[in-house]
Amino acid sequence: MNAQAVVPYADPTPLPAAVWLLEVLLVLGFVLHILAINGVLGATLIGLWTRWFGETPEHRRLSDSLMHSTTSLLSPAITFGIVPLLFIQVLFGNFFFTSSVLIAWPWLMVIALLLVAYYSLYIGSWWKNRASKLIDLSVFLALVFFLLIAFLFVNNMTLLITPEKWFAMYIADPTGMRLNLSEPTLIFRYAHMLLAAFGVGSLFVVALGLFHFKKEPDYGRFLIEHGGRWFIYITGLAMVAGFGFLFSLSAPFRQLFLGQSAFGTISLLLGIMLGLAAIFAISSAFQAKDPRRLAWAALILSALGVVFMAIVRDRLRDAFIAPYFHAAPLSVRYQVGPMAIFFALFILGLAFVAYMFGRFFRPERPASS
Amino acid sequence: MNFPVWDVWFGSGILIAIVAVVHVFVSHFAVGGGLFLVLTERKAYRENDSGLLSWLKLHSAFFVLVTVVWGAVTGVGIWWTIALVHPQGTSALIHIFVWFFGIEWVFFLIEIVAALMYYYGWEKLDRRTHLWFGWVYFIAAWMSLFTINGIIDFMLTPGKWLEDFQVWNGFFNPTYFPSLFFRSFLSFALAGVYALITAAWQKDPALKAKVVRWSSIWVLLNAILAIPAAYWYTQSIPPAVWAFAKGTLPAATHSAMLIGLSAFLAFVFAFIAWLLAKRTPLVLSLLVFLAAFSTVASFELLREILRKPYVIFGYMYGNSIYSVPLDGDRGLNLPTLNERGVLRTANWVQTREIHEDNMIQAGREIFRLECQACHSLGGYRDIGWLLRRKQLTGQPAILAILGVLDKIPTSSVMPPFAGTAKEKEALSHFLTSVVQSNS
Repeated sequence: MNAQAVVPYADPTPLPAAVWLLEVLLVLGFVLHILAINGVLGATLIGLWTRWFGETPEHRRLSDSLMHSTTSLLSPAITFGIVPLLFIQVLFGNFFFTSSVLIAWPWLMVIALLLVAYYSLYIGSWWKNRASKLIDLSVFLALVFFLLIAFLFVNNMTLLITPEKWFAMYIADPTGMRLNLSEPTLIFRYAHMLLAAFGVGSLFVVALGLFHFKKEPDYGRFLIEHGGRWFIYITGLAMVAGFGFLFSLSAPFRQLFLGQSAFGTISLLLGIMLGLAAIFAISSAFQAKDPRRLAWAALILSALGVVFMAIVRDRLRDAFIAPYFHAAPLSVRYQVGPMAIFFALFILGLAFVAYMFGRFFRPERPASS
Repeated sequence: MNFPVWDVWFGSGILIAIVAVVHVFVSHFAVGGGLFLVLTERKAYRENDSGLLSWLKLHSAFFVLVTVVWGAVTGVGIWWTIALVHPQGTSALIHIFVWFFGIEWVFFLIEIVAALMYYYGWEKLDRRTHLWFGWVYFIAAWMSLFTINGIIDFMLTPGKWLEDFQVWNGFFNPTYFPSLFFRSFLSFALAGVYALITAAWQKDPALKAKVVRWSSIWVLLNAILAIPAAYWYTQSIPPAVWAFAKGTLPAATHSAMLIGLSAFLAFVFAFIAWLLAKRTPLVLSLLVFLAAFSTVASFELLREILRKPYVIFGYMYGNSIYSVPLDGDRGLNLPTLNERGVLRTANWVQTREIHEDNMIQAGREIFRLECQACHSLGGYRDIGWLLRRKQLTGQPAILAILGVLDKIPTSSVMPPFAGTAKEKEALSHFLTSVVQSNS
């Protein structure tokens, strides 16, 4: 059957704002989500690694503080995930719902895996006997489950952009007990996303270093160097996998980022260059007398790199699904009042969260019972 | 039919029910529990009771594990599940209320951050600042309920929105305020229900007596306050719909009775706990917990049943067919489908034309498109079992009933059959084959 014929029609309810605005919110939400998720992945991996192979007291201290951080990082990571989930359903619901139904059971498993992983991290964080093997086991389980969740996401996101597969998949098995394993870009995309996530996530250790530097410069420097090394090596691997991903794309899509589309090409180039600049900054920080400025630069450069990579990802999806959009343009009817309230609350809410952080980390009075 | 129908052998509806109930039971605790934490902390400071404070620290750890983890993840889970089972309905809700979902998200973000700071702040913050974080948590959690309540109630009572499609009319719909009051009191009562669990673990008899009495009062007082709110809620539902719960529809009536019975039992068990105080066994706390769970589950079930045959009342049927034509619905509405045919309109079918030799296959596809949102083949609301129970085993009888699906006494909660006469015949042949193969 003609793939275009099975792609569901867009919802008859008009969009509540212009497409560009919703798309900006989608990308922004994705960036916030992925940065927090990267932090969780980096903290879990490095926390476990230093627990197993760390030889110095600093390693052990780092491991423990990472294990304690993961749960507090995962909460905002999940919460930020709601934003792209919301806006992808508004803009591309007819694609997203369909690909999800086709792999329904594995997709639903994400929730169960996340629940178990989350509680496992709490065991790693709260268990009183820090030498217990239960901590190793539970955090390792969480890490494995995170890898599985990422794999399921890549399955869905690649199926979302390939409607030509849908009808045959559905007719062969409408029970949703399958994955998108035949996708040629799957492994490269998965490897790239995961390695990049671990790479950026390892900067969480650098951020911890910046937090500690003023009071404990030696420990702060240790964290900046330790996290920085992880960042350099894994980001290097992520770039290799990224090129693998680029060249696993069929020519028309690959060319979008190799000159055919100025926007796509510049976005990809900026993403790569910002990543390289972040590597340069952090490696220079190792030699600097006061590494803080360069460490901050690495954090900011890599966050900007993530923004441009998110734009590349967005462009790629739009290019894939462009032929399947039904002729009628999506109608728009602004919901001015609710939209204004949302934006006002969004800005005030983020400012209020910042104020809460300030109040939490700088209590007005010393601790009392 | 615009989207592929997820074929779940045991019935996809039950999946939504399970995920929804386990989420709602915790998400309401997350709201009421916030107020419980701050008022109990204030009480401990006022009475200079370090024992009560120690218990509260333990209870707040339990609170974080239940609400921040289970509540948050199952909240995403219910969204995941409805999107798989009812993509068209979910799409409608998202399109209508995207900014409201966004507003709810802002409150949820504040709620989560405040909850963690409240918990980790026990040893770090002074009393005043710590209480401040508790209040921030509670206000954000209640505002989250304030926002999501409008979307949930919209599905049952969209009110004037059906006439003018104005989003504020959909949000502040006829059951909005009674539901907000009812859910608020329910959440405060649940705070006491959960506290009774950790209270029952206490070893110190004096402390245990104090915490059990305090927690029981939360259950008893709020259960009483919820009664007028529940009555107001029932009065806000259109009388014709509410008639189902008052006897017309057995399943709705059973759920309504179960709410009353479970709530009464929760009240009685909580009262016994108040009387026993320091002698309250864990099993009694668990009985309060189970009765409260049954109350919440029955309430959610009743709301779902009352909404039938719609997923959004008066707008979209449970099988994703629009009840009236809409601009841009591409013919996925009842009158057009009756005229044009389901198989020619739907996206995900193999059989477009019906002949004598493909009747059953065509009927199977129509069953998936129109019936499988509620019925299954061998699982929940098994169609074969239901037809046999009603002694509808022959093709002519089944064909006849398909013509009056929305007019069957005692179960007038079915959408009307959508499609041509030939399609109705094909479905009747398929259903006959199901009944006969199982008999």
